[in-house]
Amino acid sequence: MVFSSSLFLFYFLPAVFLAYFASMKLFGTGVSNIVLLAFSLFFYSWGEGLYLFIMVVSIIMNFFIGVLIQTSRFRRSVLNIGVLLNLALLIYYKYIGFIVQSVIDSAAFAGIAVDFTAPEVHLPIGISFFTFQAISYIIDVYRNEAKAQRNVLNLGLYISLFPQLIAGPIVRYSTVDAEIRERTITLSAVATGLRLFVVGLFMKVALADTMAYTVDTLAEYPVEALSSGTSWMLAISYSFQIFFDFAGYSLMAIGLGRAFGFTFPSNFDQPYTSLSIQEFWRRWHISLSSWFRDYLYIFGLGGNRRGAFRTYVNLGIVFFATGIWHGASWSFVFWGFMHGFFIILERTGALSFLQQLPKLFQRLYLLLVVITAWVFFRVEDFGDAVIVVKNMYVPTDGGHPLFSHISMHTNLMYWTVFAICLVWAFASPNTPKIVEQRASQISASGWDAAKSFGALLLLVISLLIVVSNTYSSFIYFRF
Amino acid sequence: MTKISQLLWILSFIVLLTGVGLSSIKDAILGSEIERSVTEGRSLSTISAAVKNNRFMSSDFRNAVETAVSDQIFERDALIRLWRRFSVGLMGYETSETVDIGREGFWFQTGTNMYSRVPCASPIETSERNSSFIAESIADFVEDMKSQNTDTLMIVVPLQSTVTPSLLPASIEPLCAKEFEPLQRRIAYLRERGVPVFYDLEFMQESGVEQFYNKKAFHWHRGGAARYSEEAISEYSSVRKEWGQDFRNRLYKGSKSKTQDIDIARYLGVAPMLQEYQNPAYKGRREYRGSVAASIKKGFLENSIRNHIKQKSLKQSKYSQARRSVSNEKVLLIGDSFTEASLEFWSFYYSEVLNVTSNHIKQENGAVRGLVEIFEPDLVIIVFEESKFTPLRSGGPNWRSLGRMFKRSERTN
Repeated sequence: MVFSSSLFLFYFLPAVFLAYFASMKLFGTGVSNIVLLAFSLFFYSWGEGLYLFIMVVSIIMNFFIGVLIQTSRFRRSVLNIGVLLNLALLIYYKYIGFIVQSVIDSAAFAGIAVDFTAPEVHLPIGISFFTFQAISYIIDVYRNEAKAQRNVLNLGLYISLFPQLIAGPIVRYSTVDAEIRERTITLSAVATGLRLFVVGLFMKVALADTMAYTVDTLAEYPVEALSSGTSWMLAISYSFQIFFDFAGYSLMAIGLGRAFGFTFPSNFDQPYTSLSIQEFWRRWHISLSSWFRDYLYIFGLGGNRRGAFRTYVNLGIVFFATGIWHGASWSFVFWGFMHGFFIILERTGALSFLQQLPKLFQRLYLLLVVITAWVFFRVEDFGDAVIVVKNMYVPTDGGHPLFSHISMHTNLMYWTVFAICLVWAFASPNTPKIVEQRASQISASGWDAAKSFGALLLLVISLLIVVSNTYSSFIYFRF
Repeated sequence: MTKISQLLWILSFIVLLTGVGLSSIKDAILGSEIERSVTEGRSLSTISAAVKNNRFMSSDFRNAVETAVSDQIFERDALIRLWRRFSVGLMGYETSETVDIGREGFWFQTGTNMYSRVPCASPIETSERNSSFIAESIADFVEDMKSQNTDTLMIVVPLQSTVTPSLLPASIEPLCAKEFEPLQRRIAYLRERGVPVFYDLEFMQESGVEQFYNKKAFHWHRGGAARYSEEAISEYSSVRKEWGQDFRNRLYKGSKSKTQDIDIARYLGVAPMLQEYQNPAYKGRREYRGSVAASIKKGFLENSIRNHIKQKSLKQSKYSQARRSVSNEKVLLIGDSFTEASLEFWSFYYSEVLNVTSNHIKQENGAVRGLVEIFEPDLVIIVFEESKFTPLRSGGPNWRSLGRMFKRSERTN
């Protein structure tokens, strides 16, 4: 079930709140953890059915690995095995078909006969997220940044907690370790958490989904027939769609976590206002980029400690991993490499040059790179994506008025939402900061009341849209 | 004061969600399936039906429960209309209980979000309306067929609501009554380009709509499909020698044809071709029919069949083989879902009929041409209901994929 579904909003969420807050009040953190765990496992099984066993296997496996790392003499070996086992789970369910198909294609290219076809394996929802969380847990235990969890149910709660299970943010174990063991619920935290949830819901159902209509329409057309205008419209609309979809979902997860007493880190910080690709990755999907930075780049590959050339190789590996993490497709790999290329370029001196230019040019550079890269993220066929990018930069009026006129695919609703997206993404401060901001003492209560009223309005609008809409799923659902 | 406002906010949040949930739960669990949504014109599902009809916690059960929960939201129809009044009003449309009325009098069934995606939702110039991507694509395709000595016939089916405008909501002004008639222009365009197109609204109206449609059904029934198709081949009897003759008495009672669902990829031998194509040793093989090999190389397999097999979108086609028929020839019957009711009729006439609908060929502009190359029909019959030509009509026509289906592609030439 998705957060924007009727079942979740009107049945699951009230039931969780009732059971959780009652158990917290009556029995404390321990019992409330069990309640949350039960609801989280139910939440996952509702979407994945019997594939819940994969999560249970992951929980039990990492529980024993964590304990062994802490108690065994062969800590590093246990860690290596643990990481490999987690990656094996991820690779099998997410990448085996892609790997086999790539082998077949490569063999065909090399003139070698092969006699097998790629297997079709079900991809469990959120496996990329909870696997990375599990890996961060065992690495944190190894680095003595956290003690191994001796209560398998608590570890299960960390791995399966439903607010961030499906699409992040990726929460480090060390961040929530103390809160899992003991936490308090305050009125202010619950109020703030629910406001964050509502704002995230609005970002998803009102903004992202509206952009999605236009994107889905344009993406269905034969790409050769798209004009430059409609190609840019596809790319820009998708840039807004993916941001508001993903940032919205993250905000919902963070908000629910806050209401339950957990402090999840922020995942987006106005990324489209960045002035370089390096800065972009400090503001976009922060939990993922920092995970790759800390666990792969620094811990796994040595970071920048082994010379310039090795640093660039490491960056290439990290962005290959970033791309492939998003999807088992060479288009995603290319997207990752594109970002990696510009990061390396900036590190070799381009950034210094860039910083001498007016901010407008720096912004333009950032937006051109990022928006162009999103085309490879959205258009499934790599060849088609290349054609769309070509249409964007080589003026063309397209093959038919139907595909080339922007007015054919927009209306006042689209432009209204587009304007909101523009202001929200570029001109407004970081969304969580607004929601959490404390006003001066004089107007504290007025500001709080205004935020509550605003949130209530957004909630009513969002619920109306949810009821009106058909099923919609998050973009990052299958990562 | 801050604490009070926070408490009020939390209570409002919980009361709103819980209130809607509790108000809906009785109907969700105990509601009757007979209850219909006026807004959407369909029966609403219930949890009790989901439980009764599906294995507990199976994926069908979970989907059915989610649907039931959505269907039974407290005052759902009213909430939908409330939102649509705002969102549709923002675009300058009017909205009523069942339809939205656009600026030029066209209409859409309320309950679908498709209107924002339907082309021509914004006014376009008359000259652009005169040409149609679909009509051009179909005309190009028919020209191709002619060059290969393959006959074609196009049958455009009037919808029940067009035959009997009284079925439309009172607030609608039927488009066909207006001076501006894109459907007629597109048919005229096709005929000018030499495509035999049969569209006879008067025939249906004079015969009586019940001869073609069951009451309130969207699709025509088999009898109606047969009657209309008979009229079509009567009108175009000069195209084929077996048309226009009355074989009914001889064939209808005695003819037997076996119709089966087929995996068209495997039927046409494309799946083995795919596996062999993946084997580079095939490059030297000469036993394939030359044109098929050319299609394969040009991307028919690369882009089309692999995806189609994977998406299973070619597996729902129907193939009919008759023991006795008027003609021993082969027919490729393509179009929308209206082809299915007419399959039986055509299988009386032809020994082999391969029926593939546009629903099952996704967005691949080489697919139909590839099918023609492999199946080698003697005749191609195209059947579409009229709204597939007229984007202004209700129903969210799947015209985009239709256009792509027929569009000439460099990759398969």
